[in-house]
Amino acid sequence: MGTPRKPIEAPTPEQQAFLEKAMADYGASVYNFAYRLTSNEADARDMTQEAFLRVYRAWRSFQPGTSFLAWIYRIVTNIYRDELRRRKGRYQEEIPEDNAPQEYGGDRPLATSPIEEYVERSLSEPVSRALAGLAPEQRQVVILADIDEYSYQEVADIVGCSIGTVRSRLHRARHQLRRLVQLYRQSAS
Amino acid sequence: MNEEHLSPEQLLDYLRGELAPEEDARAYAHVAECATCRCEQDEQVRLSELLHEYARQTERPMPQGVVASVRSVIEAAATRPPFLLRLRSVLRPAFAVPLAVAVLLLALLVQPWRPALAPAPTLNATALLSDHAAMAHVLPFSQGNALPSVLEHRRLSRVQTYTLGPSANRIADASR
Ligand SMILES: [Zn+2]
Repeated sequence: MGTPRKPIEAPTPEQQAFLEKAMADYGASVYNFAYRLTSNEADARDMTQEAFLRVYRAWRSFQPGTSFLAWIYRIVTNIYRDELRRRKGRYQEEIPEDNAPQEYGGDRPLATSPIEEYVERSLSEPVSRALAGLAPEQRQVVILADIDEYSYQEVADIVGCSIGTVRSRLHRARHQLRRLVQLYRQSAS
Repeated sequence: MNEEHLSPEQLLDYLRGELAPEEDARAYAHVAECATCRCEQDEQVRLSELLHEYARQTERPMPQGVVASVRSVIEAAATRPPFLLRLRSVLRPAFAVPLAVAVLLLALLVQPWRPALAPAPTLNATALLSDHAAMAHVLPFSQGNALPSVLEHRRLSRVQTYTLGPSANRIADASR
C-alpha cells in the first residue's frame, strides 16, 4: 500500500521496543479498524502493515500522555484517504452526504474470504452490507463514533475535520444505515 | 407536551452525551414524557446495539503475517548499508584480492595490449613455382646452371609455410 516516502533507518532499541509494543497492544484494534473501513481482508492487512511502518518512522511524533489508539487511528485514516485517492484518481473532499451506496475504492476483489463468508452468513450480514454501502467518509465516522465510541471532538481530531462535519456525517450515515439495514433484512428473508 | 420534539440530531447528541448540561436536562425531561421521541430514541439505540453486535461478531486478531512482514521490511532496510559503506566493503582484502586476480586473468586471456592479429600473408606457391619454372627456362639459375635439387626442395617448403595462414601463427603464439 504505497512505498515508504522516507527511507527506513536502522532502529534504535527504543524505537524497536516502541514498535513491538504498539503491534502487540494495538495490532488487533488497528486491523479491525482497517477491516471495517475496507470490508476486505487483503486491504486491511496492507493498511495495518503500512500503519505500523508509519508508526515506526514517526514514533518520535507521538506525544506521551495522549491516546495512542487515537494517534494510530489518525495514521490509518490518512492511509485510507491516500488509498482512496490513489484508486479513484480523484477524490471529493466534500462528499455528497446523501449519496448512493458505494464500495471501497470501487475495485474490491471478487473473491470473498472465509471470514467474509462467515460474516455474510451471520446475523450481522445486513449491518455489514449496510456499512459497506456508505460513503467512505461516513463509514469511518460511524466506526469511530459508534463502534469505538469516540466523542465528536475525538473523531474530528482523528479524521481531521470540524465537529460540525462529524456531527452531520454521523447523523446522515446513521439515517442511511437504518434504511439500508432494513432493506438488506427484507432481501435476506 | 410543553415543548417541540427533539430533532433526530438533538436526540443523537443527547444519547451520546454531547449536549451541554442544561440542554441535556431539558432533553431528558422531554423524552421522559414524549412517546414520539422515546420511539425515535429506541430506534437510535437499536442501531447502536446492531453496530456493536456487528463489531463483536467481526472482531478478530491481527493476522500473524503482518508482524513478520513489518519486521522484515525494517530489517531489510536496516541491513542495507549506505552506498559508501557498500563501496568500502568491496575494497576489503577478502573481496579485493580475488577481484584483482580475476581482473589479471581476464587481462591475460584478452591481451588488450597486443595489436589485433593481422591476416598472415599468403602466397600462391603454385603460381610462384610455375613462374620460376618458366623463368628458369629463359634465365637459368645463375648463368644457365640448373638449380641443385636440394635447394629447390628447401625453397619449396619455405613457400609452403606461408600458405598456412593465420591459424599457424596462432598455434605458434600459443606454444611460445
Ligand atoms: Zn417529543
